[in-house]
Amino acid sequence: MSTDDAPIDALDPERLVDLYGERIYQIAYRMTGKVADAEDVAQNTLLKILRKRDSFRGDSDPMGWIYRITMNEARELHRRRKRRPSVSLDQIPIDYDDTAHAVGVKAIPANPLAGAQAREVEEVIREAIQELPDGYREAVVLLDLEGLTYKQAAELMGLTLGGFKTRLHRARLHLRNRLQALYAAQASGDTHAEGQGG
Amino acid sequence: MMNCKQVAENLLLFRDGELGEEETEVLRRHLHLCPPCVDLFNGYDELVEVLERLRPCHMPTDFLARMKRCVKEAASGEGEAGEA
Repeated sequence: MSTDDAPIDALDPERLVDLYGERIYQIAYRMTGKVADAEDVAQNTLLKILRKRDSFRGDSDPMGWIYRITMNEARELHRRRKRRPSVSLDQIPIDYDDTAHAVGVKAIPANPLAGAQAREVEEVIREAIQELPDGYREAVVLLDLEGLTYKQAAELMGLTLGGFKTRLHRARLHLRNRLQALYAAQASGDTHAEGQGG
Repeated sequence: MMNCKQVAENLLLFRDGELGEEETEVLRRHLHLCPPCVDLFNGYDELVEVLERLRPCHMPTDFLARMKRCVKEAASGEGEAGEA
């Protein structure tokens, strides 16, 4: 996760932006899903790094520190925007019968959609990520969008590996249910029904 | 023999190749016999592909220039406050 250069506490402010600005923007965009929000979060993150970089321990990974600050700023923005998670993921979102047999699971087409339908799917999933509670959204963003390893993501979030996997799994299953609802809606020609899933 | 609930709980590890050898085999056997779990697995796989398509991220072209102005102003403001 590291970026080679001078220690972060010795960097000129503009060099700080050169080295880390784009990565911070990317993390912020993936955490918020909107350009304007990503800009707010990235700006606040850069200013915070600038103010606090004297307290950064030079022997640790600056990207880990930067991830944590960006994630906290994104959480703060979600609170300011009064975005409330619209789903509870305390339980795995699948229904089972009395014998623990899965019910209500529907097939999703194996062939990827193309063009406008594919973009609609991407937009619905992007929005669904934003509906997740903070810790679940962060798990999906860190592993599936940022491409960190399980170990890196778990450490950043202060979770055990098992705890992280459970969180990621529940978040992904919620998103999968949204995908299933959207595909069912597209198959029936009702493109406004996708919000009913999950 | 795993039931569907146990399969669902282990699907993530199975997909990402992080399940032990024995459990992988048990889960694979379950998938041979259980169409709903196959649908669950395929949908899960499709979701991960959609997530991969969401990875590209385009930063506004003037963003870094604006941020440089912003941090420069903040740094000079801090400097003046320290001198005062």
